[in-house]
Amino acid sequence: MNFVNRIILSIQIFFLLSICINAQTELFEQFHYAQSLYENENYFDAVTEFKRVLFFDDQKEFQYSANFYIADSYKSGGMFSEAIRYFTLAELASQTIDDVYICKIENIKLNILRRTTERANRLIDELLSDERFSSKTKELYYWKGWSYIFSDKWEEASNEFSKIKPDHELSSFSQAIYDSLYDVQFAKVLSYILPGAGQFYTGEYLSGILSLGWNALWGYLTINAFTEERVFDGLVVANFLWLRFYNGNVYNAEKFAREKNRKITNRALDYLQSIYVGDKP
Amino acid sequence: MIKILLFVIISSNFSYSQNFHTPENRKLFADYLFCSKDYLRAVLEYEEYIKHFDNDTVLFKIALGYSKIENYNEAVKRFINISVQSDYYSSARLEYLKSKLFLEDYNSIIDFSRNNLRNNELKLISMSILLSDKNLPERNNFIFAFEDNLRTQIEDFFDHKINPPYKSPLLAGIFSTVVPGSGKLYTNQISEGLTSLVLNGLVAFLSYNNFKNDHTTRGWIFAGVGAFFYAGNIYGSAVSANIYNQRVDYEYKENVKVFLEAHNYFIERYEFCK
Repeated sequence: MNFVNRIILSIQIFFLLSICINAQTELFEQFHYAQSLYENENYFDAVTEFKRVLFFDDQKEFQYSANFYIADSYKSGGMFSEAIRYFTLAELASQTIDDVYICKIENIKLNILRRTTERANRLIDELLSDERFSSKTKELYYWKGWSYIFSDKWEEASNEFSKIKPDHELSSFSQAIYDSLYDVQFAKVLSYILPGAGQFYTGEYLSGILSLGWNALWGYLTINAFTEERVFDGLVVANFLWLRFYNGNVYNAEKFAREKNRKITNRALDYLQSIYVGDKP
Repeated sequence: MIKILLFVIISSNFSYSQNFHTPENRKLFADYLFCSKDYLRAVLEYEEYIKHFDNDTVLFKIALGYSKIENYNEAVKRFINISVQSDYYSSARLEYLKSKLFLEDYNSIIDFSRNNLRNNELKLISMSILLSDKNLPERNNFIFAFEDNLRTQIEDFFDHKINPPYKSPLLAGIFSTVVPGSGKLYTNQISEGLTSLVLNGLVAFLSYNNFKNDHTTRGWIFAGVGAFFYAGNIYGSAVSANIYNQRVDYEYKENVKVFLEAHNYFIERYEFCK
């Protein structure tokens, strides 16, 4: 190879290399542009621009970060299924075990948010049994606790948080919520035994008194009809009035207990969302 | 010579810059989005592209994108503007009809240009008549557009449209006037019919029995309750017939839509994403 040929070859190599470098520089700029959209909470455009990065990223340099940002943008937009898809893609493109873990945790959080609790718990159990993540056990218990909170299982949630630390803030909080919940079955049984008692248990005193009064009235009229040998009247009053009020009383007790529980859990979730400062799904 | 070569290579190198937002790159990216079923973003990218280039395929894909994201009003506007010279003109006409079908604008479909109607357009228009309140044409005029293997199904739809298996609210009311609950039995509400019969019979008997035993007040109370139940039973039977008829209509329309879906609205499948 003579001198001139060597020069030409060197120039060609330089040319090709700088094309690649230029392309990647453009891609970096595009990535930063997408990132700025994400930071300004313009999630729709951020997803578009990150997808553009992925499309033109021939060297697969941004596969992890772009997919991660897309997933997070979808999550912020409430599109949880799409977010899970892109977190999974990010996980597949992960270079380190920490990145894999972060993606898996994000998927767990999304399953908690969309209340696919079984799936969330299964993913957590998989990580707990994976030796690579043995140092993350406490964090996994934490998310399992949250998973139980979102599925309205406050006692189980408290147990999971207490595995991190017996006096963990969320453990005592969940236990307090569990203790303040009304036992729906107990309310029903009370009303079966004494009409109105279930309502009294849930703090609905007026409804309890009314229920007791109506049942006492129709019960008295039924028994009175039978004692006076007006069997047909007794059957009609018992069937069309007493039984209906009796069943209504049990139904009412159950309804009140459920409504009160819903209010308690909603208040608890409100607190966790707006006041609690720890990590949230 | 070497100097010239050097100058060309270096200057071309420095002028090289991969702009991802050029119209060509936007189109490439939009094609990728379209095939990833991210139709909204694909449409937005295509819209940018056609600001610079006129492209029939892109115009059609924009319209199709709007249809895919169920923005049928916009889709209709775009499909109708596809030029006669476009390769996608006939597809655009069919897609236009399909979008109108989703908008339940049956009048527009039926009034669609009747000149040079293609066979599949005729099929879609015929199916729209089945879904609309319009009168059907002659049986043979209606089914001739369809292939032999579809005709049995189409004739079933046609017969159903001409003679739907409705229940008469008047007849249901009369039945229940004669025998309480029988109107509901007529509208296939077996348990409600039997309950109505027993309840009316029971209250009537209670009234009769109380009058017979000189409990006049209670007799009148039960007679009042009985009259209320009796009137309710007649009214309820007529309502039940109406509900039955609405269910017949709903199931019929659902069956026609399932049929259309199964035959892809008589539109050939596109090969944009092979």
